[in-house]
Amino acid sequence: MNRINLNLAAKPRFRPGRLLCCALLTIAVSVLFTSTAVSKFSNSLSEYSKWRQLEKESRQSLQRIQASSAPLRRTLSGNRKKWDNQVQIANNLIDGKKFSFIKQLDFLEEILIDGTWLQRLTLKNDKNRRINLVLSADSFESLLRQYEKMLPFELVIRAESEKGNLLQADLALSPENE
Amino acid sequence: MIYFGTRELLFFQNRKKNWQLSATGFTIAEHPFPADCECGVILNPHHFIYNIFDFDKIPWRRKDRKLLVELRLRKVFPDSLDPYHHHFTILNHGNVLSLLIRHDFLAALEEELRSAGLRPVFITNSTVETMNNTVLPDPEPRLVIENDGELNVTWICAKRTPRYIRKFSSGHGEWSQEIRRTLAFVKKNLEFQVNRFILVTNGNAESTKKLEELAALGLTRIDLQDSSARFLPGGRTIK
Repeated sequence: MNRINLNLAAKPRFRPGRLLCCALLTIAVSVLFTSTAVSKFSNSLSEYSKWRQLEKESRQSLQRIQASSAPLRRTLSGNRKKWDNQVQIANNLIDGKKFSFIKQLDFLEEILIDGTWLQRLTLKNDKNRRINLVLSADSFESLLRQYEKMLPFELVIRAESEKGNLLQADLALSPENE
Repeated sequence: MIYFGTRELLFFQNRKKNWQLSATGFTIAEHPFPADCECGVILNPHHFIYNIFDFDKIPWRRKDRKLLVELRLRKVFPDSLDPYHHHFTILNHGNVLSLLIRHDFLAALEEELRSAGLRPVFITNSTVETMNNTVLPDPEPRLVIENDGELNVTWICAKRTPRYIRKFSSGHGEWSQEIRRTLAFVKKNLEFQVNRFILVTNGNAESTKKLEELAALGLTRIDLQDSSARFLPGGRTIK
Protein backbone atom coordinates (compact mmCIF):
# COMPACT_ATOMS: atom_id res chain seq x y z
CA MET A 1 0.00 0.00 0.00
CA ASN A 2 1.26 3.47 -0.85
CA ARG A 3 1.47 5.94 1.99
CA ILE A 4 -1.74 7.95 2.22
CA ASN A 5 -1.07 11.69 2.20
CA LEU A 6 -3.99 13.63 3.55
CA ASN A 7 -3.76 17.33 4.32
CA LEU A 8 -7.05 19.16 4.49
CA ALA A 9 -5.55 22.52 5.52
CA ALA A 10 -6.64 25.42 3.32
CA LYS A 11 -3.10 26.85 3.39
CA PRO A 12 -0.60 24.02 3.79
CA ARG A 13 2.92 24.78 4.85
CA PHE A 14 5.11 25.99 2.05
CA ARG A 15 7.87 23.45 1.69
CA PRO A 16 10.87 25.02 -0.04
CA GLY A 17 12.73 21.72 0.12
CA ARG A 18 10.09 19.96 -1.92
CA LEU A 19 9.91 22.85 -4.39
CA LEU A 20 13.69 22.81 -4.66
CA CYS A 21 13.64 19.06 -5.29
CA CYS A 22 10.98 19.50 -7.98
CA ALA A 23 12.94 22.37 -9.56
CA LEU A 24 16.18 20.39 -9.48
CA LEU A 25 14.47 17.37 -10.93
CA THR A 26 12.90 19.48 -13.68
CA ILE A 27 16.26 21.13 -14.43
CA ALA A 28 18.01 17.75 -14.43
CA VAL A 29 15.42 16.29 -16.80
CA SER A 30 15.61 19.39 -19.03
CA VAL A 31 19.41 19.24 -19.10
CA LEU A 32 19.25 15.54 -19.91
CA PHE A 33 16.77 16.12 -22.73
CA THR A 34 18.69 19.11 -24.09
CA SER A 35 22.03 17.31 -23.98
CA THR A 36 20.49 14.30 -25.69
CA ALA A 37 18.92 16.53 -28.33
CA VAL A 38 22.17 18.49 -28.86
CA SER A 39 24.17 15.28 -29.07
CA LYS A 40 21.72 13.81 -31.57
CA PHE A 41 21.71 17.03 -33.58
CA SER A 42 25.50 17.23 -33.66
CA ASN A 43 25.63 13.58 -34.69
CA SER A 44 23.14 14.28 -37.47
CA LEU A 45 25.14 17.34 -38.51
CA SER A 46 28.40 15.42 -38.69
CA GLU A 47 26.61 12.64 -40.55
CA TYR A 48 25.16 15.20 -42.98
CA SER A 49 28.55 16.81 -43.61
CA LYS A 50 30.01 13.33 -44.20
CA TRP A 51 27.30 12.63 -46.77
CA ARG A 52 27.92 16.01 -48.42
CA GLN A 53 31.63 15.24 -48.66
CA LEU A 54 30.87 11.82 -50.08
CA GLU A 55 28.46 13.30 -52.62
CA LYS A 56 31.07 15.88 -53.67
CA GLU A 57 33.71 13.19 -54.08
CA SER A 58 31.29 11.03 -56.08
CA ARG A 59 30.46 13.94 -58.38
CA GLN A 60 34.15 14.71 -58.96
CA SER A 61 34.84 11.07 -59.62
CA LEU A 62 31.97 10.95 -62.12
CA GLN A 63 33.36 14.03 -63.92
CA ARG A 64 36.81 12.46 -64.07
CA ILE A 65 35.38 9.25 -65.52
CA GLN A 66 33.36 11.22 -68.10
CA ALA A 67 36.44 13.23 -69.12
CA SER A 68 38.60 10.14 -69.48
CA SER A 69 35.93 8.22 -71.39
CA ALA A 70 35.17 11.00 -73.95
CA PRO A 71 37.82 9.93 -76.58
CA LEU A 72 36.70 6.35 -76.13
CA ARG A 73 33.09 7.35 -76.73
CA ARG A 74 34.09 9.35 -79.82
CA THR A 75 36.01 6.35 -81.18
CA LEU A 76 33.07 4.14 -80.41
CA SER A 77 30.65 6.42 -82.24
CA GLY A 78 32.99 6.54 -85.33
CA ASN A 79 33.29 2.78 -85.26
CA ARG A 80 29.54 2.43 -85.02
CA LYS A 81 29.07 4.49 -88.23
CA LYS A 82 31.66 2.35 -89.97
CA TRP A 83 29.94 -0.81 -88.80
CA ASP A 84 26.56 0.53 -89.93
CA ASN A 85 27.94 1.12 -93.44
CA GLN A 86 29.42 -2.33 -93.52
CA VAL A 87 26.14 -3.82 -92.37
CA GLN A 88 24.32 -1.85 -95.08
CA ILE A 89 26.69 -3.14 -97.75
CA ALA A 90 26.28 -6.68 -96.46
CA ASN A 91 22.49 -6.33 -96.60
CA ASN A 92 22.67 -5.05 -100.18
CA LEU A 93 24.87 -7.96 -101.14
CA ILE A 94 22.39 -10.37 -99.52
CA ASP A 95 19.52 -8.71 -101.44
CA GLY A 96 21.48 -8.94 -104.72
CA LYS A 97 22.23 -12.54 -104.06
CA LYS A 98 18.54 -13.29 -103.52
CA PHE A 99 17.44 -11.96 -106.99
CA SER A 100 16.84 -14.69 -109.58
CA PHE A 101 15.96 -14.27 -113.30
CA ILE A 102 14.86 -17.89 -113.47
CA LYS A 103 12.30 -17.29 -110.75
CA GLN A 104 10.97 -14.26 -112.63
CA LEU A 105 10.60 -16.34 -115.81
CA ASP A 106 8.97 -19.17 -113.84
CA PHE A 107 6.52 -16.64 -112.48
CA LEU A 108 5.68 -15.45 -116.01
CA GLU A 109 5.25 -19.00 -117.24
CA GLU A 110 2.85 -19.60 -114.36
CA ILE A 111 0.83 -16.48 -114.90
CA LEU A 112 0.46 -16.31 -118.71
CA ILE A 113 -2.66 -18.04 -120.03
CA ASP A 114 -3.47 -19.65 -123.39
CA GLY A 115 -4.34 -17.15 -126.10
CA THR A 116 -1.72 -14.61 -125.01
CA TRP A 117 1.92 -14.21 -126.19
CA LEU A 118 4.80 -12.40 -124.73
CA GLN A 119 6.15 -9.84 -127.25
CA ARG A 120 8.72 -8.04 -125.18
CA LEU A 121 10.10 -8.47 -121.65
CA THR A 122 12.28 -6.30 -119.41
CA LEU A 123 13.65 -7.69 -116.12
CA LYS A 124 15.54 -5.43 -113.72
CA ASN A 125 17.51 -6.31 -110.61
CA ASP A 126 16.63 -3.13 -108.76
CA LYS A 127 14.84 -2.24 -105.53
CA ASN A 128 11.32 -2.44 -107.05
CA ARG A 129 11.92 -5.54 -109.12
CA ARG A 130 9.10 -4.71 -111.48
CA ILE A 131 8.58 -6.68 -114.65
CA ASN A 132 7.73 -4.68 -117.79
CA LEU A 133 6.20 -6.64 -120.58
CA VAL A 134 4.25 -6.28 -123.85
CA LEU A 135 1.55 -8.92 -124.45
CA SER A 136 -0.39 -9.91 -127.55
CA ALA A 137 -3.86 -11.51 -127.24
CA ASP A 138 -6.01 -13.13 -129.88
CA SER A 139 -9.24 -11.79 -128.44
CA PHE A 140 -10.47 -9.21 -126.02
CA GLU A 141 -11.81 -11.96 -123.74
CA SER A 142 -8.33 -13.53 -123.51
CA LEU A 143 -6.86 -10.19 -122.63
CA LEU A 144 -9.47 -9.60 -119.92
CA ARG A 145 -8.85 -13.03 -118.37
CA GLN A 146 -5.10 -12.26 -118.41
CA TYR A 147 -5.74 -8.95 -116.64
CA GLU A 148 -7.84 -10.74 -113.98
CA LYS A 149 -5.01 -13.19 -113.29
CA MET A 150 -2.44 -10.39 -113.04
CA LEU A 151 -4.52 -8.11 -110.82
CA PRO A 152 -3.09 -9.44 -107.46
CA PHE A 153 0.43 -8.46 -108.66
CA GLU A 154 -0.04 -4.68 -108.78
CA LEU A 155 -0.91 -4.68 -112.46
CA VAL A 156 -0.37 -1.37 -114.25
CA ILE A 157 -1.75 -1.09 -117.84
CA ARG A 158 0.43 1.49 -119.49
CA ALA A 159 -0.90 1.25 -123.08
CA GLU A 160 -3.24 -0.81 -125.26
CA SER A 161 -3.24 -1.03 -129.07
CA GLU A 162 -4.50 -3.15 -131.96
CA LYS A 163 -2.16 -4.66 -134.54
CA GLY A 164 -3.87 -6.67 -137.33
CA ASN A 165 -6.09 -9.26 -135.65
CA LEU A 166 -4.15 -9.13 -132.41
CA LEU A 167 -4.57 -6.88 -129.39
CA GLN A 168 -1.38 -5.54 -127.72
CA ALA A 169 -0.94 -4.32 -124.13
CA ASP A 170 2.05 -2.70 -122.45
CA LEU A 171 1.98 -3.84 -118.79
CA ALA A 172 3.96 -3.63 -115.55
CA LEU A 173 3.88 -6.23 -112.73
CA SER A 174 5.34 -6.74 -109.30
CA PRO A 175 5.79 -10.39 -108.39
CA GLU A 176 5.10 -11.51 -104.86
CA ASN A 177 7.78 -10.92 -102.21
CA GLU A 178 9.73 -14.00 -101.50
CA MET B 1 0.33 19.10 17.00
CA ILE B 2 -3.18 18.87 18.33
CA TYR B 3 -5.20 15.71 18.54
CA PHE B 4 -8.96 16.34 18.58
CA GLY B 5 -10.39 13.39 20.40
CA THR B 6 -13.88 12.55 21.57
CA ARG B 7 -13.15 13.19 25.19
CA GLU B 8 -9.94 15.15 25.18
CA LEU B 9 -7.80 17.55 23.31
CA LEU B 10 -4.15 16.53 23.30
CA PHE B 11 -1.36 18.98 22.65
CA PHE B 12 2.03 17.80 21.54
CA GLN B 13 5.14 19.86 21.04
CA ASN B 14 7.90 18.95 18.67
CA ARG B 15 11.22 19.10 20.51
CA LYS B 16 14.00 18.01 18.18
CA LYS B 17 11.67 15.50 16.45
CA ASN B 18 10.59 13.95 19.74
CA TRP B 19 6.93 14.54 20.34
CA GLN B 20 6.11 15.31 23.94
CA LEU B 21 2.77 15.75 25.55
CA SER B 22 2.70 19.27 26.86
CA ALA B 23 -0.73 19.68 28.34
CA THR B 24 -4.16 18.08 28.42
CA GLY B 25 -7.61 18.96 29.50
CA PHE B 26 -7.92 22.60 28.50
CA THR B 27 -9.17 24.54 25.50
CA ILE B 28 -7.07 26.14 22.78
CA ALA B 29 -7.97 29.61 23.99
CA GLU B 30 -6.47 28.91 27.42
CA HIS B 31 -3.15 27.77 26.07
CA PRO B 32 -0.43 30.42 25.67
CA PHE B 33 0.77 29.89 22.11
CA PRO B 34 3.44 32.10 20.52
CA ALA B 35 2.15 34.50 17.85
CA ASP B 36 1.49 33.00 14.41
CA CYS B 37 2.40 29.54 15.61
CA GLU B 38 2.14 26.81 12.98
CA CYS B 39 0.03 23.89 14.06
CA GLY B 40 -1.00 20.51 12.80
CA VAL B 41 -4.32 18.95 13.63
CA ILE B 42 -5.24 15.31 13.78
CA LEU B 43 -8.99 14.85 13.72
CA ASN B 44 -10.51 11.74 15.16
CA PRO B 45 -12.96 9.77 12.94
CA HIS B 46 -16.07 11.51 14.31
CA HIS B 47 -16.48 13.95 11.40
CA PHE B 48 -15.46 11.56 8.64
CA ILE B 49 -17.34 9.11 6.47
CA TYR B 50 -15.15 6.27 5.24
CA ASN B 51 -15.52 3.86 2.37
CA ILE B 52 -13.22 1.41 0.66
CA PHE B 53 -14.22 0.57 -2.90
CA ASP B 54 -13.05 -2.34 -4.95
CA PHE B 55 -12.59 -1.84 -8.71
CA ASP B 56 -11.49 -4.17 -11.46
CA LYS B 57 -9.62 -1.41 -13.18
CA ILE B 58 -8.94 2.17 -12.18
CA PRO B 59 -8.68 4.74 -14.99
CA TRP B 60 -5.39 6.49 -15.56
CA ARG B 61 -6.82 10.00 -15.91
CA ARG B 62 -7.57 11.65 -12.59
CA LYS B 63 -10.82 13.18 -13.89
CA ASP B 64 -12.19 9.77 -14.94
CA ARG B 65 -10.96 8.24 -11.71
CA LYS B 66 -12.83 10.86 -9.66
CA LEU B 67 -15.98 10.31 -11.68
CA LEU B 68 -15.80 6.55 -11.15
CA VAL B 69 -15.23 6.82 -7.40
CA GLU B 70 -18.04 9.36 -7.02
CA LEU B 71 -20.37 7.12 -9.00
CA ARG B 72 -19.65 4.26 -6.60
CA LEU B 73 -19.94 6.61 -3.63
CA ARG B 74 -23.42 7.73 -4.68
CA LYS B 75 -24.63 4.13 -4.36
CA VAL B 76 -23.79 4.09 -0.65
CA PHE B 77 -24.15 7.81 0.04
CA PRO B 78 -27.15 9.19 -1.83
CA ASP B 79 -26.94 12.73 -0.35
CA SER B 80 -25.45 15.57 -2.37
CA LEU B 81 -21.67 15.72 -2.25
CA ASP B 82 -21.57 19.51 -2.54
CA PRO B 83 -21.34 20.25 1.22
CA TYR B 84 -18.54 17.71 1.55
CA HIS B 85 -14.88 17.66 0.82
CA HIS B 86 -14.24 14.35 -0.92
CA HIS B 87 -10.76 12.91 -0.76
CA PHE B 88 -9.85 9.56 -2.26
CA THR B 89 -6.61 7.62 -2.40
CA ILE B 90 -5.67 4.58 -4.43
CA LEU B 91 -4.51 1.96 -1.98
CA ASN B 92 -3.41 -0.60 -4.55
CA HIS B 93 -4.37 -1.63 -8.10
CA GLY B 94 -8.04 -2.02 -7.36
CA ASN B 95 -8.85 -0.55 -3.93
CA VAL B 96 -9.68 3.06 -3.26
CA LEU B 97 -10.15 4.70 0.13
CA SER B 98 -12.73 7.46 0.10
CA LEU B 99 -13.15 10.07 2.86
CA LEU B 100 -15.88 12.65 3.23
CA ILE B 101 -15.81 15.61 5.61
CA ARG B 102 -18.01 18.67 5.65
CA HIS B 103 -16.58 21.90 4.24
CA ASP B 104 -18.24 24.02 6.92
CA PHE B 105 -16.66 21.96 9.69
CA LEU B 106 -13.18 22.44 8.23
CA ALA B 107 -13.77 26.16 7.73
CA ALA B 108 -15.03 26.54 11.32
CA LEU B 109 -12.05 24.60 12.65
CA GLU B 110 -9.54 26.73 10.78
CA GLU B 111 -11.31 29.89 11.91
CA GLU B 112 -11.22 28.72 15.53
CA LEU B 113 -7.50 27.96 15.33
CA ARG B 114 -6.69 31.28 13.67
CA SER B 115 -8.63 33.20 16.29
CA ALA B 116 -6.43 31.47 18.89
CA GLY B 117 -3.32 32.75 17.08
CA LEU B 118 -2.53 29.44 15.40
CA ARG B 119 -1.84 28.86 11.75
CA PRO B 120 -3.14 25.45 10.65
CA VAL B 121 -0.75 24.06 8.02
CA PHE B 122 -1.61 20.40 8.38
CA ILE B 123 -5.00 18.86 9.02
CA THR B 124 -5.27 15.14 8.79
CA ASN B 125 -7.21 12.24 10.14
CA SER B 126 -6.22 9.76 12.81
CA THR B 127 -7.52 6.76 10.84
CA VAL B 128 -5.36 7.62 7.83
CA GLU B 129 -2.34 8.05 10.06
CA THR B 130 -3.09 4.77 11.80
CA MET B 131 -3.39 3.03 8.43
CA ASN B 132 -0.02 4.43 7.39
CA ASN B 133 1.56 3.16 10.58
CA THR B 134 -0.03 -0.26 10.85
CA VAL B 135 0.91 -1.65 7.45
CA LEU B 136 3.10 -4.63 8.20
CA PRO B 137 5.10 -6.76 5.75
CA ASP B 138 3.09 -9.80 6.82
CA PRO B 139 0.31 -10.40 4.18
CA GLU B 140 -1.95 -12.29 6.64
CA PRO B 141 -5.31 -10.59 7.18
CA ARG B 142 -5.73 -8.80 10.47
CA LEU B 143 -8.23 -6.60 12.18
CA VAL B 144 -7.15 -3.09 13.05
CA ILE B 145 -9.24 -1.25 15.63
CA GLU B 146 -8.94 2.43 16.28
CA ASN B 147 -10.79 3.30 19.44
CA ASP B 148 -11.48 6.67 20.96
CA GLY B 149 -14.05 6.38 23.72
CA GLU B 150 -17.25 5.08 22.18
CA LEU B 151 -16.12 5.87 18.68
CA ASN B 152 -14.51 2.99 16.83
CA VAL B 153 -13.15 2.42 13.34
CA THR B 154 -12.21 -1.08 12.30
CA TRP B 155 -10.70 -2.24 9.10
CA ILE B 156 -9.30 -5.42 7.69
CA CYS B 157 -5.76 -5.16 6.43
CA ALA B 158 -4.78 -7.98 4.06
CA LYS B 159 -1.79 -8.16 1.77
CA ARG B 160 -0.61 -4.81 3.07
CA THR B 161 -3.84 -3.10 1.97
CA PRO B 162 -6.94 -2.06 3.93
CA ARG B 163 -9.87 -3.94 2.34
CA TYR B 164 -12.97 -3.20 4.37
CA ILE B 165 -13.63 -0.33 6.76
CA ARG B 166 -16.43 0.27 9.24
CA LYS B 167 -17.13 2.96 11.78
CA PHE B 168 -19.38 2.32 14.75
CA SER B 169 -20.27 3.76 18.08
CA SER B 170 -20.35 1.31 20.96
CA GLY B 171 -22.43 1.67 24.08
CA HIS B 172 -22.40 -0.48 27.16
CA GLY B 173 -21.30 -4.02 26.35
CA GLU B 174 -21.88 -3.71 22.61
CA TRP B 175 -18.25 -3.35 21.63
CA SER B 176 -17.34 -7.03 21.35
CA GLN B 177 -20.63 -7.75 19.57
CA GLU B 178 -19.79 -5.16 16.92
CA ILE B 179 -16.34 -6.67 16.49
CA ARG B 180 -17.91 -10.13 16.15
CA ARG B 181 -20.33 -8.78 13.51
CA THR B 182 -17.45 -7.22 11.58
CA LEU B 183 -15.51 -10.48 11.61
CA ALA B 184 -18.55 -12.44 10.50
CA PHE B 185 -19.24 -10.02 7.66
CA VAL B 186 -15.65 -10.17 6.47
CA LYS B 187 -15.58 -13.95 6.62
CA LYS B 188 -18.81 -14.24 4.67
CA ASN B 189 -18.27 -11.58 2.03
CA LEU B 190 -14.51 -11.28 1.62
CA GLU B 191 -13.61 -14.79 2.73
CA PHE B 192 -10.96 -13.58 5.13
CA GLN B 193 -10.32 -15.63 8.23
CA VAL B 194 -8.99 -13.09 10.68
CA ASN B 195 -7.05 -14.36 13.68
CA ARG B 196 -5.00 -11.38 14.73
CA PHE B 197 -5.66 -7.80 15.66
CA ILE B 198 -4.06 -4.46 16.31
CA LEU B 199 -5.75 -2.25 18.87
CA VAL B 200 -4.98 1.44 18.85
CA THR B 201 -6.73 3.33 21.62
CA ASN B 202 -6.46 6.80 22.92
CA GLY B 203 -5.24 5.70 26.29
CA ASN B 204 -8.54 5.28 28.07
CA ALA B 205 -8.92 3.02 31.04
CA GLU B 206 -11.13 0.51 29.23
CA SER B 207 -8.40 -0.71 26.89
CA THR B 208 -7.45 -3.64 29.16
CA LYS B 209 -11.04 -4.82 29.13
CA LYS B 210 -11.12 -4.53 25.34
CA LEU B 211 -8.01 -6.64 25.01
CA GLU B 212 -9.65 -9.31 27.15
CA GLU B 213 -12.78 -9.23 24.99
CA LEU B 214 -10.74 -9.61 21.82
CA ALA B 215 -8.83 -12.51 23.37
CA ALA B 216 -12.18 -14.09 24.19
CA LEU B 217 -13.08 -13.87 20.48
CA GLY B 218 -10.02 -16.00 19.74
CA LEU B 219 -7.90 -13.20 18.33
CA THR B 220 -4.19 -12.81 18.96
CA ARG B 221 -2.76 -9.40 19.51
CA ILE B 222 -0.01 -7.98 17.27
CA ASP B 223 2.26 -5.82 19.39
CA LEU B 224 3.44 -2.80 17.45
CA GLN B 225 6.89 -1.71 18.47
CA ASP B 226 6.81 1.34 16.25
CA SER B 227 6.23 4.31 18.50
CA SER B 228 6.52 6.93 15.76
CA ALA B 229 2.83 6.91 14.88
CA ARG B 230 2.17 10.47 13.84
CA PHE B 231 -1.26 10.78 15.37
CA LEU B 232 0.14 9.50 18.62
CA PRO B 233 3.19 11.61 19.33
CA GLY B 234 5.35 9.85 21.85
CA GLY B 235 3.76 6.51 21.09
CA ARG B 236 2.01 6.55 24.42
CA THR B 237 -1.33 5.17 23.37
CA ILE B 238 -0.46 1.95 21.59
CA LYS B 239 -1.31 -0.58 24.24
